[in-house]
Amino acid sequence: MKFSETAGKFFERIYEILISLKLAVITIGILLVSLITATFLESIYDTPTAQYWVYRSFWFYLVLLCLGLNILFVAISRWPWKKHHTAFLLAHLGIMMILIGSWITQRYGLDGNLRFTEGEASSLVELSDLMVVVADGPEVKTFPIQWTPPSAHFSKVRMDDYGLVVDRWITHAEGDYDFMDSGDQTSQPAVKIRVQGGPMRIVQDYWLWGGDVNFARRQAGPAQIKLITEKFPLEKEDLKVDPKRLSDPKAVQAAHSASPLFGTGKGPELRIRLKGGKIEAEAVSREGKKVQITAEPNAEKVYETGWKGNVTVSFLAIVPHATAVATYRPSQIQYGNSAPSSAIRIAAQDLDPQTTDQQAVRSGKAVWLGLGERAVFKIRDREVAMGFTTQRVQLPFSLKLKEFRIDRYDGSRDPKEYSSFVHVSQGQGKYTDPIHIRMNEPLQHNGITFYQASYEEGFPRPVTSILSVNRDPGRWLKYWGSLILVLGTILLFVKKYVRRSKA
Amino acid sequence: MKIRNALLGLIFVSSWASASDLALPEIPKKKWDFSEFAQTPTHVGGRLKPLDTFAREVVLQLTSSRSYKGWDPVDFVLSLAAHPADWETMPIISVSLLDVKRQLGLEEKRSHFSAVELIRDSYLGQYAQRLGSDSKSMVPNLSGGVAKADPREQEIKKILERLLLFRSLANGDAWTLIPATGGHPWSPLSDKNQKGPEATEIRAHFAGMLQAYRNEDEKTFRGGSLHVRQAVLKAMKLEDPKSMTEDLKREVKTLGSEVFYNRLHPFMWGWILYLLGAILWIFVLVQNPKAKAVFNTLALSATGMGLLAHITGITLRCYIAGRPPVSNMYESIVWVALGVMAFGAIIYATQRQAVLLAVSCVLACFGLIAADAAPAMMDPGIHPLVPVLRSNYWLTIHVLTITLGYAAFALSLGISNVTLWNFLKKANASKIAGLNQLSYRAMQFGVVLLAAGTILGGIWADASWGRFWGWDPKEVWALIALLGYIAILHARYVGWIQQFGFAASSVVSFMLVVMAWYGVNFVLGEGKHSYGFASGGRGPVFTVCGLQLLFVLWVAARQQGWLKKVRL
Repeated sequence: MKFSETAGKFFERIYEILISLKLAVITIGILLVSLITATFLESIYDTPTAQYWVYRSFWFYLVLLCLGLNILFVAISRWPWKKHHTAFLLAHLGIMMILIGSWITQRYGLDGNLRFTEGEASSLVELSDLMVVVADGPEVKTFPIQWTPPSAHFSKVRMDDYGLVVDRWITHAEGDYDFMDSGDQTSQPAVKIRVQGGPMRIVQDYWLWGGDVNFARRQAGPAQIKLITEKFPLEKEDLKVDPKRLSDPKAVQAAHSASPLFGTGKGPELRIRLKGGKIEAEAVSREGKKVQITAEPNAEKVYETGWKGNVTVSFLAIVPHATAVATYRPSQIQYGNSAPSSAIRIAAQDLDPQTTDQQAVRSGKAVWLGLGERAVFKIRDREVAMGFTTQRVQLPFSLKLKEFRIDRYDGSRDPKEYSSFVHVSQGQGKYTDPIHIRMNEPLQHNGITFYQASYEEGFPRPVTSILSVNRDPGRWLKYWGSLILVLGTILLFVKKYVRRSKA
Repeated sequence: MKIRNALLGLIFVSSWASASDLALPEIPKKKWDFSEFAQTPTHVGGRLKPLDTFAREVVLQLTSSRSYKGWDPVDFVLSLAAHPADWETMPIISVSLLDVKRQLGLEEKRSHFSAVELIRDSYLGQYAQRLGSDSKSMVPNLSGGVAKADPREQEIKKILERLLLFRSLANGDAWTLIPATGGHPWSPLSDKNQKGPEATEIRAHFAGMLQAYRNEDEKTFRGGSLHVRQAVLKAMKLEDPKSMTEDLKREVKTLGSEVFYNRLHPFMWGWILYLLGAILWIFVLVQNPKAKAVFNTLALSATGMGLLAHITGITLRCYIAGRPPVSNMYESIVWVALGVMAFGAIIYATQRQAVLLAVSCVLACFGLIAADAAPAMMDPGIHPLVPVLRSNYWLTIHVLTITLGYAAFALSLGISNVTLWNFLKKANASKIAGLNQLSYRAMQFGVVLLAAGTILGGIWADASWGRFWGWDPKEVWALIALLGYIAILHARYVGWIQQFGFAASSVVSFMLVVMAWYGVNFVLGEGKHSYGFASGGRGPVFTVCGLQLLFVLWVAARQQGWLKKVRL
């Protein structure tokens, strides 16, 4: 008896709070303060930071939930509803529908990007969320990684099946690569060289490695340095490379298809071949003059290249069968669009916390992965591949970009309009006729909407289009909610006005 | 690259070092009739416009003000082209930031400097070199907005652009008078690739005209300028439907109207008349009943004429630009000022209260003056739209609704200020209640319009960006303003705030609108609405907002007796 009485009083009290205007005003006040804070966070730092601290934080959802409950219970409290409640009820119903619709969108919707180049077909939608993908034989597992701003604490992700843990996170990371003996006869060779000279008298070391295109072809100022191997023979078309990251297969493919910016004017070249512990190099100047070099690794010996600016080269080290070891450090740039992407460290769970990062990586107890990189682990004699990527969704059909078209204002580079002509797959390798996707005119297919979002600038014209891919099951709720809300608000004011003018 | 080359090329004059400190002879104006030449079409900044507009833009860009010492802008640019060596030593190039003046070794008190003075310090040259080598910083970002940068750096870039412009007027780079042919865009007179007969003809006429200008031969000049115009029009092949896009067709038709619009300066007439109206309305409010009728008529007609000028200006601008005038800060202020007048007039029609039109006139006058006063900060030019805005339908509905919401809130703010004034004067309760009722009515308009406009924005965003709501700063601030006003309406409904509280909170919550309207674009500068971003004006805006808040505080202190308590 007594308990139920207390409980009853308790619920009554809760109910009173829920229907009170005080709660509404307090909630709105908290909402106002947090929204204002968020916009300033976004202005000072960047969008993900504002989302992390406010828009996607747990407590912000709580505030919204509180507002929703308040509105719901206030509406219920007026029961039994009379005719003069109509406007008030409509306005409150509208807000609730918008809130619920937004929640459904957040929970069940799809919002990502599809990036493809002319002639390419793709069904891969890239989301902004991050994850570690583990391929253990035929089994594939994913572990979501929470994007965390530089100032916040990263919560570790344990992967107990493998005795591993994602223990470090750098929001905007720059990689340093080192190459060491892999102990595997099939691994590709690596060589470290030093280039000095040029107008600025610069001295810089470069690692070249046959295992990855970004390291087999490197840019040193205007000069290109090439490691010639079976996998990357000299004849192969010059590749666009990004020396900051190891490439994943998709990146290599993209490099093959589009290399518009580099490779137009031909700079000097250094071509390196490795033959049984010796280096056979050929320095080709811009004018086509060739200098042959035969050398063994020795930092003291300096060779002329015959290039302008008295550029010399020396060979520091050779690793016949090398594997890449990366360590990451926070980048100088920590905010904004030009900040580089993130990196994580995967370490053994039994790693001694006293061990330095360098030691851990060298001893194979920890591995750094930049976004888009993968590594193979030997766990209990099995090979397990792990990759750090953005989450991706495979669509049940694919889109093929026929043409990307851009129209600029006369006499300027400012875009006036840009659009994509796209084929949609219909199974058995068949495609529809081209469909024109343009600004404000999206394509709807199978409940998914494709919008022209952006493009990658290219020369002489851009050929890579970026579509925003969206499925929004909450859309109709939001639309109807909006309509009802506006209707209710208008009625609310008109009604009062009529009542007043009669009086 | 362009800037660097231009700067290196600036040294085309012998009289470099000597000139600047001597008292300079004025360069004489011609005071001829340039109206014929003013209508010559040119294609700059992505659209076809009359030379008159181009000349005004040159004056604005060089001097940061609307006019230079009473020169007809067309006369001014012709003089710059004809006598570059004389102008080089004239202080016509604006430098505003103190830090930059120090950096360049310029006198801190002056606001304008000559090209010679600017080049004397080697810093600008070095900076231009750096710009040339670092091509990345010259790439515009995708959304077409201005990336956030150090204001000093921006100012230096602007100075370089001014120098470039100054030089290009003399060497022909700025005179984009050779029409597009066969896929080749409009090109300047100096373009050596343009060798066709039309281009040669335009060049010859232009050279002849400029020579006549130098020789002070008015008759030959007028003949020459007419020839230039005809040659350009001929080369445009107006009769050939293939060379005419929809935009171009409209732009050719509106050349004359644009010159008329430029010379009429309707918004200036607007604020002058509104000012007159406001003063007359105040007389109506304070006069004894006898004279009231006369002042009432006078005030009504001044207001009406102001409204006429205002509407004429907006209509002309719509006609010239081919779209509703709400694509930048200048246009939106002018539009909101009209909205305030409209709401004031609508409520006046039902309530017949002079205070409504008095407040509307003051606000509209203030808005038009603000828009007119800072052309360097708020660009009054008509510019083509970034891709996402090229949907007239949505631009009209979404932006017009939101800005009308702002207008209603502005009216509410104005009336509430009058209410606060009445509190100070200890006016009777019924007068105050009446004023608050008017303010409340305006606020209701505002809430409905802002809610509808924000939702319409969501629908547009859904259609073009693929999401209804994305917590973008502009969206969020519209929501913040809306929530603020909704809180007030609720508090008033349950009686938490009384007459004074309502008036005070109506004024305070307008600060949220200022932030959503001005702040997001000019202070935060972040998010997807980047096409409206710019910088500047913080000083005056914050000062006005601060004074407004101080006024509320002062009235509150008097009203609530805070000051008395302190004294005791």
